[in-house]
Amino acid sequence: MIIEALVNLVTNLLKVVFNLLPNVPQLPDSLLSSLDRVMNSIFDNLDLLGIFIRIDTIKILVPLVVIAYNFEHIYHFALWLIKKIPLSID
Amino acid sequence: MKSFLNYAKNRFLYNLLRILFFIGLGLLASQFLFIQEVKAASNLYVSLNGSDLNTQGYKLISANTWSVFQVSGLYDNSHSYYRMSVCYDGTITQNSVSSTNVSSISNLYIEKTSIPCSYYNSTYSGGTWTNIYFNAVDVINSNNIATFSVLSTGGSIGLISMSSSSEPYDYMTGQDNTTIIDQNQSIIDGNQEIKDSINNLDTDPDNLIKNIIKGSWYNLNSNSIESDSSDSRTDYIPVHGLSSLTLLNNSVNYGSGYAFFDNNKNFIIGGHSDNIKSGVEVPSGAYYVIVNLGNPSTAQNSRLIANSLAFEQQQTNDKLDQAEETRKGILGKIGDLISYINPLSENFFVYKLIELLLDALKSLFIPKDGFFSEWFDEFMVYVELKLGFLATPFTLFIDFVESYLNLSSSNDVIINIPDISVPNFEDNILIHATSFNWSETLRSKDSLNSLWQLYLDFIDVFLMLNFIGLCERVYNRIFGGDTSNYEYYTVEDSYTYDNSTGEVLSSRRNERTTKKKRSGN
Repeated sequence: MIIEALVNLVTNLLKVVFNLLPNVPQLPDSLLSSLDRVMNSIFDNLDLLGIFIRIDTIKILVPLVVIAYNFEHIYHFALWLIKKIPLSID
Repeated sequence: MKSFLNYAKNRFLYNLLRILFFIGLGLLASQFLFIQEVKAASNLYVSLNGSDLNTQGYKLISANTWSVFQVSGLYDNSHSYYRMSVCYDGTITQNSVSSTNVSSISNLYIEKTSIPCSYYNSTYSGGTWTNIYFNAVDVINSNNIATFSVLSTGGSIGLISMSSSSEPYDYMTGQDNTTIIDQNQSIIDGNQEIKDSINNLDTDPDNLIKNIIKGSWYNLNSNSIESDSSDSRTDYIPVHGLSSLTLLNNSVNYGSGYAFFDNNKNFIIGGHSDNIKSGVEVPSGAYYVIVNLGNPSTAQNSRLIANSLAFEQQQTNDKLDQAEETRKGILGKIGDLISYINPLSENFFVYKLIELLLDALKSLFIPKDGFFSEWFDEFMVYVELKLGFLATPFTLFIDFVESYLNLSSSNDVIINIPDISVPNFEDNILIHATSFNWSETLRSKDSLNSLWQLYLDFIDVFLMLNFIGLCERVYNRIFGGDTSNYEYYTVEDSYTYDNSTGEVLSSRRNERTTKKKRSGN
């Protein structure tokens, strides 16, 4: 309930700010269609990766690599959080 | 510091321009590559123009009249050819094929097999399967509808279905007949196509396009109904609580059928009306049925009855069950009250109170199931509306993540090459659509497959070693002991100038990257 309330609060605040601004127009349909076509030809053929690397390996390694690359930030964030806890241990 | 910032700024601009260049190149390429919009999935269904059906709705009108078949839905671009199987007792010949949408006659091939139409353990007497193969890419129009006309002798249609084999069809060499029957059988059992057809029943009798399943569905509005030839409206008949349906006489025509639906009018199961001559069981969870008795002129005296005895029995049973439930409910309440004050019972009120408090505490911090996904979907809709084209990169990123999550090792690696033609000259195809199943080729030869597996093993080991190396570097960077290479960017500006006037005669800029191990630490 608390987390839901916080998320809703932040979302509503963002919406209040965004509502003050005008709506940004969408890309032209023709451009979106072309973009979709290019992206779909990439996304629809991601299975081709399976020729070179095992799909299971990709699915396991990619999240691990992303975490490893950002581990420094995660570590510092965790430390920052821990420091916020009012413990009397020096 | 300043030069570094300048360098970083230039580097950023350079990368930005490079990305824009590649996007532009992609857009340009997409304009030249005519990619046929044949979408994925294959919930196809067949419809006939109502004017081509006779008044009973199951028979094509007489010869020398073009009958228009339309195959609608979403096509799977992994199939070069589709096969529409028609359970039909007339004649449709290859020579009589014509269509404005079929670019050449070779794109449509009709083959009549001698296998009797058989489904749901019933035989459609006189009918045989007639297979119409068509090249999806050539006959599909922009609305994903394949339309073509055939000249028929006015035969009866028992069933039309679409094949959805994983194999691309070689439509000129024919198929194994047994397989054809099996596939059609499984389609009937499966059966997204018939579900779609029945779910999309057209209740407007004036609509010229009638789905073949729609035909002449009868308006039946009680548990014991006589068909009415003057009324061809489609209606749901309540069957909740009934055990079976039986047709009293045998005036059922080919092409007729029945379909059961649940409370939300979702299709459960259906079949041929022949089955209900001997009584068909109402499936569990069925609330409604739609029954088609075929030809109104001969089916006029048909009488479809629900098993009323069973119905009354069911009502009595329901009442008895209700009384039993009430009795159990009173005794249960008394038992519950005693257990609440018994410390040895697991229902002791203190335990319940603790459980309640824990649940309250949990609900205080843990969001309800699906909260984040709902929030994300709603928020993305808002962001896309508000930010317009600025949200496009996020949408693309989300699509990419979804594609990544959908990757499966069980998928075959299939390279699909669409028809390639010159824009505005689409009739002249430079390269015809084709597909190549890489996995199948590799699996077909043991030696090749072993070599491939060995290569994949090697790559796995290589990637894992690299990952371990990455982990080591990250560890050293955070906790000390960093021995990784550092990149140094050196920028040198050198000038030649006139000693006497100080005028710069020429200048030279040199940028280089060097790698050096970090010392100490």
